[in-house]
Amino acid sequence: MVATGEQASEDFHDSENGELSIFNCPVCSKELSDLRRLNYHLDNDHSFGEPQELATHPVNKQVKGRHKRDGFVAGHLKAFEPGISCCHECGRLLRKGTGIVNCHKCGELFCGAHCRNTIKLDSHGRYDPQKGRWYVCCYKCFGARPGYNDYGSSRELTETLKSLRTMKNEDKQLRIIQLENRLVRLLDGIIAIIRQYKGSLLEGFRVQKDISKLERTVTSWRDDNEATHCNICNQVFDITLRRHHCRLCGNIVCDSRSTNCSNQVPIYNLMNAANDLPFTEATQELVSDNVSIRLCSECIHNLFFQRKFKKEVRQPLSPLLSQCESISNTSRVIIQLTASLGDIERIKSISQAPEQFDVNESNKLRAKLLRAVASYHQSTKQISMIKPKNNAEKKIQQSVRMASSIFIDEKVLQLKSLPCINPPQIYHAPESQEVVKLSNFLADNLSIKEIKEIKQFREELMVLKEQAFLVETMIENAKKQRNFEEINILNGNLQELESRMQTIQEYLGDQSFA
Amino acid sequence: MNLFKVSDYYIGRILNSQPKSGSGSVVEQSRIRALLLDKDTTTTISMCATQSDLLNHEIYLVDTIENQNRDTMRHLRCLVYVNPSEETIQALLKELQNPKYGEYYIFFSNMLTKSQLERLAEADDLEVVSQVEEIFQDYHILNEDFYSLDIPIERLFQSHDVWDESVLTECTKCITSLLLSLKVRPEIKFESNSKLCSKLAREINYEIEQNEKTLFDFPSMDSPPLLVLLDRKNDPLTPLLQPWTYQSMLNEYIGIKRNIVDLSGIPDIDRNLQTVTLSPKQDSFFHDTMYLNFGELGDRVKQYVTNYKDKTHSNSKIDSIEDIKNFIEKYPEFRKLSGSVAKHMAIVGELDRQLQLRNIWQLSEVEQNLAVHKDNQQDYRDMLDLFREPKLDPKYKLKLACIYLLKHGGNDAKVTEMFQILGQELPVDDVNFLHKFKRIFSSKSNEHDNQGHQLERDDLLSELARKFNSKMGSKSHPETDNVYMQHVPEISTLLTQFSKNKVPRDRLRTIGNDQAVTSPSSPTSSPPPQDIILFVVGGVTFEEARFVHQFNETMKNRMRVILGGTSVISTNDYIESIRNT
Repeated sequence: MVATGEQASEDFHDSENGELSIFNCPVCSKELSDLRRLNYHLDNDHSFGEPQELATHPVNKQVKGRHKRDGFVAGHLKAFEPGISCCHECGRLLRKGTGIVNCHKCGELFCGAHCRNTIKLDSHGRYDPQKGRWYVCCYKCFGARPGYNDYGSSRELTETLKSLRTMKNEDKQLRIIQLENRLVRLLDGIIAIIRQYKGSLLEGFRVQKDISKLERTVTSWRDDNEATHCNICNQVFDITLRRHHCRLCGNIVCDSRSTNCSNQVPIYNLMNAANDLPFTEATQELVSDNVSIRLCSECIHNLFFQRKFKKEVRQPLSPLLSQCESISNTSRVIIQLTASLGDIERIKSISQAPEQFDVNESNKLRAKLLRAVASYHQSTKQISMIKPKNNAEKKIQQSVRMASSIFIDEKVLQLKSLPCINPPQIYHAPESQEVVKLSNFLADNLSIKEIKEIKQFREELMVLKEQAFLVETMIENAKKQRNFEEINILNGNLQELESRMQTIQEYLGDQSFA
Repeated sequence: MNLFKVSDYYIGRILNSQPKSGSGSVVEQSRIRALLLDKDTTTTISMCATQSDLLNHEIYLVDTIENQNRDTMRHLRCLVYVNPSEETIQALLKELQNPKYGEYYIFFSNMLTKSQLERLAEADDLEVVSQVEEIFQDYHILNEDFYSLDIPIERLFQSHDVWDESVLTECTKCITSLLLSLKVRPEIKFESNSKLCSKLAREINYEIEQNEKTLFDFPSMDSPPLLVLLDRKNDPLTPLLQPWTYQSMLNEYIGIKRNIVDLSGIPDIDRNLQTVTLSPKQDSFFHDTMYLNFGELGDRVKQYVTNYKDKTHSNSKIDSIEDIKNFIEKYPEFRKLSGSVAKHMAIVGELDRQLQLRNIWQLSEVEQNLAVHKDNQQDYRDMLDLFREPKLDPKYKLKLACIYLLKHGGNDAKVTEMFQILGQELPVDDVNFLHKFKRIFSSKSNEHDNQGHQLERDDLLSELARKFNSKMGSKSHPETDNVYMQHVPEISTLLTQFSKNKVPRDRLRTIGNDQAVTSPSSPTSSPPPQDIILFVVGGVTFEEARFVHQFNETMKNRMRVILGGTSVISTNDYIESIRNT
């Protein structure tokens, strides 16, 4: 007996509640005409409880029925109290017409519509997916089963990759260190030789001889006869394609111009490019001597590729990128300020009389915010003026422009809806400053006539109109208070605003809203 | 089991990947990031994320890994999201050996093999890779409960009923990734009469067992989720009928690929509307209307336009500052709305034009009657009339004949007469095709009929009700009971059977316990399954997606179903696929 023994009623057949007179079995969805039949069906067909006769259905035997059924400890099931018990889900009063069901997992009482799931439980009402038996439960318990609402597996392979990489790179690193040592020995030796014969008559001759002797001590050269073709590009050697030895690894390679398998590299350049290596000799005195050694492309790659990469990464950002950084910093500031300003406004709106501290704080924030917005505008303007270095930068530039226009749409425009209940004097000062900046921005860009710009201008025009309106009301107020000094200042501001509006309206022509 | 939630989670995982402390010494300067995709993931990303999503995460540069002419940008960090196909891995190795960006965060949309990882490690001399992760989304999400693998039918089979080896592997991988993304280790069932499904089921099972310990280590459920593999050949009728819901009509008459609708074929179309994007995720109007039929859709669009007009009206009178203020606040939203209205107006207008142009109204009624009614003289006459209609596209005549063969192919006299008439109306190729079609499906149609009879008896009441409603002009039950939407796909019947735990025993087989079919695990002793993942080999239709969606709505909180297939097909695709096999 599962769906519960908690009904306190005697007769089900006078069910005047037409809408709920049909019950679906939560297990097989079979339609049953009343609760008792449902219970009977569950008990017998699904062996939820001990089979019993429909006719001998116990009446008012809650306590007895609530104890052991089929080993199920039903202690946590809440008892039904007529007129008091409500559905745990929808909160309506439970009557015989609504259906009265215990979730066997959490024990709460539900109406028939909110306890239609099934779950496997052990005899103590705990979830047991393997050995449990099927019981009725509510959706909350149903959904809380581990793994039911889970999604999104992923597997992190970074560590595996790193260990593999270390393993594979160890050999390469050793090889590179070996090459580096050879390079140091070779270059130091060459410089020593040059210094030794400097000024000597036989300089050219002796230097050449000693250097080639030194070269062979640094690395053993392969035998010319061994190689019939280049070790890198596999071309066959002949009279036009000569054999050469790499001075670092000793391999035999060609010097074909098309494949660049080996090159003569001036040692001055080599020392400069690898200036982190512990050369004992100084480079300065070599500038005049144009000594080169032959290196194969593999050695060059091994020695210098990583150095080049690291050097490039360490270089400062290009103007476009650094400008992008400043934009994104500004936008962060704006978002942060908006959030904290919103908080304060909310506090103010809750407490009717705003505290002086809050008012001051909000004004400070407001001023900061306006400055941030102005600098945001300036940065976007600068971004569109920078000439991109390559295609990628061009794309980035376009993206940034799009992103900033979205940002203005979403964040900056919404600022205008912030309530302003501060005194006009304090509010005014940063405002007029802001207007000047914004209008400069407008004036500078008047030559670009794109749809997007026009839209932006329209929005700016709206802002200006609004500001003009604010200034007008301020003037009214000042007049009432006979504050003539301020009226003068305000009038000046108003004129400025109007002239700006004039300019924009002229520029937009019939595209403005009027 | 909401697929959009899954993809949001994964995309969030990619976009929010942060340099781990200590390792990020290489590129600390720039927050801007580049995103590298391959041709598979481009589709995935474009269907699940918008450009502004990317911009919000400071991804200002998106490119494909195949593109060799990318500029070097050492200061950017690069997110790579690719499918681990051989082609892409090659491109990725090349990229790592000669990196264009400063640091790499690599995400794969499916499982990576050991050797692929080793090759990556070897190529990464400069140690530019900071993260490698497998996430599992090797499938395309169309709706929250509808996915597709986008494998064209032509590529599926070597010959009739035999998988193409490479495609089988691909399918297996994709479905495995689906299971992983939903974190389920399912019980696999397949249609017992289909060799294709049984082969695929075994492959998937093998794949799961291979990775049981590592990936498929999910908590076991009291009611294990089901993966049900179906064969298109067991329900050839559904993809032959003209569809009537918004999403499926779009696919049928205009075409929608990667959520992009190409409207350039419409005469006098506005330049801004030549290609539009439609996604149930971003377009709330489409989300609400995509399962509605054309009539209901018309009403909704009308309502939408009126709504819009009201707004423009209130916007047109900007007299006071208050109005201006309001306008500024609402302007971005308003702009979006006006774009959306224009878009849907254009699409619905075009759909209407196509319907008129192609005589679909008339055609569809006859089709549906043929598909649902018992063989009768009236429907047959209507069909013959349509055959003689000169304005009707021959491919529709062919389709009608196919439907007739499927449903009433046993009636030899009529079939012969039909072939005679068609001989005059259609080119020889098409008539040959019909003979082929008859050959393929005639063996099936008999058993199908037997099954059908049983179902009909079971379902007699609803059948009667349906007929009655269709005669009443269907005003009272606008749901499915109009003349144009009488046919109910097999999938719907199957799902109903599942929900009642009454799936015929010989219909489906379960992998792993072949003998269990006869074992006494009587269906009444356990409740119906809670989660079902359906997969149709040979293509699935939007019409079926609608039924699954409706099923999910009615079974809310009790059963969850996800539908997908090797590809999404229109009526034309389906005919062509049979022609080519």
